[in-house]
Amino acid sequence: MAPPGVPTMAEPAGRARAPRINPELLPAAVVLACAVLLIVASTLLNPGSSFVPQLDAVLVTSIFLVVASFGQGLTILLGGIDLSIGVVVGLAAIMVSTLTNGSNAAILWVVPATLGFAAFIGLVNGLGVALARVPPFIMTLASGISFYGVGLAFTTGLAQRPVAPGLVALMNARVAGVPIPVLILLGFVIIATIFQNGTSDGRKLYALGSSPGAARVLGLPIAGLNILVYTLSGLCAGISGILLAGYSSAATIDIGDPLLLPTIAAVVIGGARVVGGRGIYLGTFAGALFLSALETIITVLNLSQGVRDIIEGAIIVFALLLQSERWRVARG
Amino acid sequence: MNSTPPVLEVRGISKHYGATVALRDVSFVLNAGEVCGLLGENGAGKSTLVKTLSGVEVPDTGALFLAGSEYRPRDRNDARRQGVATAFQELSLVSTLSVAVNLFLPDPAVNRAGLVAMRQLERQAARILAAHGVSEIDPAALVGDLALGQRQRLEIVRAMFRRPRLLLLDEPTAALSDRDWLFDLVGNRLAEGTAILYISHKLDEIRRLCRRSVILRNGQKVLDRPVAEMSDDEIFRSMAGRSVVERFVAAPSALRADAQPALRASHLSSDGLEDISFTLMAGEILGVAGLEGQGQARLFRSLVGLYPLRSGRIEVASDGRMVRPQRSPRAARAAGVVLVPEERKTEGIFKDLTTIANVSLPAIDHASKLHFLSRRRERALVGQVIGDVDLPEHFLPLSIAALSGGNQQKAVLGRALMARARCLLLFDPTRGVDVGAKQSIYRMMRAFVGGGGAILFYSTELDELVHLCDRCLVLYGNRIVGELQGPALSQELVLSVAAGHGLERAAVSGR
Repeated sequence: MAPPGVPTMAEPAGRARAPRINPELLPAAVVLACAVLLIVASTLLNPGSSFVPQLDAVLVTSIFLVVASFGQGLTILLGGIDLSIGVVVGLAAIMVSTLTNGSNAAILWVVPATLGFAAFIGLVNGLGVALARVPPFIMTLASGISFYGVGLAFTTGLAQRPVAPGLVALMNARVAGVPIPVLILLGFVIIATIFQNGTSDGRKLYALGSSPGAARVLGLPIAGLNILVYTLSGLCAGISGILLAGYSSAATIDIGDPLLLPTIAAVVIGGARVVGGRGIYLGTFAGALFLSALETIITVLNLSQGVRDIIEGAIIVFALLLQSERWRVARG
Repeated sequence: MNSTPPVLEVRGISKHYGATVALRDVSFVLNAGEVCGLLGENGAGKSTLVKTLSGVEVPDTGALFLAGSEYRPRDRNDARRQGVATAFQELSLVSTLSVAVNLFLPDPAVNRAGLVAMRQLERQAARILAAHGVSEIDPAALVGDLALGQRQRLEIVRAMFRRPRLLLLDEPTAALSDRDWLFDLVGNRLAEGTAILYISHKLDEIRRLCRRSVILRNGQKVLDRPVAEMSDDEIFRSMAGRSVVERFVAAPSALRADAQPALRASHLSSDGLEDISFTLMAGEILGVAGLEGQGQARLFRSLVGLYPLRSGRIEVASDGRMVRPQRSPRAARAAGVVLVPEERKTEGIFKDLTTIANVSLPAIDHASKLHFLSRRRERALVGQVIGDVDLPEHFLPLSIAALSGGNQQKAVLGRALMARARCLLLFDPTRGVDVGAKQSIYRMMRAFVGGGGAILFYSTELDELVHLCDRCLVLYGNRIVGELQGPALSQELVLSVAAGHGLERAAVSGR
């Protein structure tokens, strides 16, 4: 006798039941919890600090990574990669500081121009990948190197220019006690999530990343989607560069280089599949936050950069191992 | 006749892939200096048998004996070492390496420095090729640069020149124009005492070369007799199987007398398609029959722009006129032509998406306002088609990868309906699909043409073609060699025409 309320299983039982929560939320939640734990740990390790300011600090320093890795996440979702992100961040930062040259009045046209330029680099990447069929890592690496050269040519011999004070102020101001960058960050995460999981374009991106062959047979706009994604990635790197310039109040051309590998790491740690088709932005966000918290704790512990790199590398390998395990179970 | 053991003895081997039985208790022997034909329809188990003998697959049960001692090859190289060479149908050459290196793979001779002595290898290769009557292939050329026919010759020479005890030739003439070249070589090998298993579905070749033939059907051996004792009809009947299970409910054709063309192909030619012309009418299920690799896949793909055409014209009905859509899957879909492809796993389903997302994809823009998805509208749209393909609603939120092959196929068909197709190109839609889902697919097809749609339908299962189609085109050697309808549309005749036979007869009884 079955107890009341227990449904009698119809045919392909068990697996025919819908998962209650999105299975991709799980890695995101776990990574997010780890990030919070790291922040708590760094608070405890640093006598005299408390949790909320520590959290604010991590969030503010994470924003560059959070923004840039959205673009990286999209390219990886399509089975590609964007290796020009570091260069674009640096170019955007140097462009915004050189052109504003300490004047607030210039912000109004400099910021859009900078974003346009960053998106243009992304567009070039997208055209190369989608139309010329250059493998993404070659295309983005090559365009990164080339545009870096262009940037060098323009900035050689120039004295470092100060960033417009308005941008610097933006990165340091608070509204109702909350740092403005944190608000920007939250807004960005919401918009990015809606784009990726709440729009028809996002759905097509998942479809294309999941089964390029089926996308071709169905006639999805494959070239258009690729161009869109690389352009967005350039744009995000541009936003990240402008914020970074404001945060550090001056810019050098290679200011963005240390961001490139962490963008990839954030996506992977967040549970996205390296070859595309799977992954949510919340996971990438958690990954970026985790990496920033790790950075903070390493600073607090006074460990060397080398140690940080070792830990980061180990975490990526670990995340990949977890993925392959999951993959095997899913198939079995 | 004599006491020496046969070169090959196959004793009761079986092989399963999941739930599909590829071989069931197959036994036969092969003697030295004998060439034995192996006949069967697509999916009868011929390729599985070749794979088992050549060390690619291990049988589940049963045993193989080579000259009396048990033969259990670990892999292809092990099989070759034991004297079993295979010329594979899908050609096992490495296209980025030269002809000479390919000939001596997997272990080309190395010099004292451990390097492959290329010049020497090429001289040797030239000698071997010449000895096998091949003069037009440059040993230094890359295999990827060779024409398909040349590659097939190379594959055959590679299997032959090591003087194997047992030689397996799997559809060796599929891309060969000069068959006599092969027949001469086969004769030479036989004179040397090699035993040859000759896999083909071309009956004339079997008749010409083999004294004896084994026929497989559904993984079982149904016949093992001297070829001369059997008539063509007898052979085709045993290949196709007599007893067709009555699982087709007779239904009147949806084709009306005043039907208008839905799709017209005129003189399509391409690399691997020769002057194909046909007209598909609204309300018609037009079958396409053909043995493997006769151009059917290229034809279906070319109709939606996935395979380039050299010349020809494709017209699609649109508002009472015939228009010529651009050759891309996107333009074809806009014109109402949707392909349900052969490779369900890589080209049919989007494996990481849920079932509902798989079905709704063509209409996803209709389910969104200003690009923002409305799950409610998506659900409503999908709800309109899943009934037509018998896809249970509770599968919708699941990942499509968790569904059975049959339900995946229903989702793919549902997606084609979602795309508002008026002309469906179904390429073997019932392959790997359970019986219940097959019935659903048949029902869906009939309902679709009943509503004025048109279907071009390729199937490897002849009974499906015979029972569902109004007409059936038969492809052979990349061209249409016959068109059967009415009483002429029988399994035996389809198979016979598909094997390149009985063309005159087909034309006669086709009227």
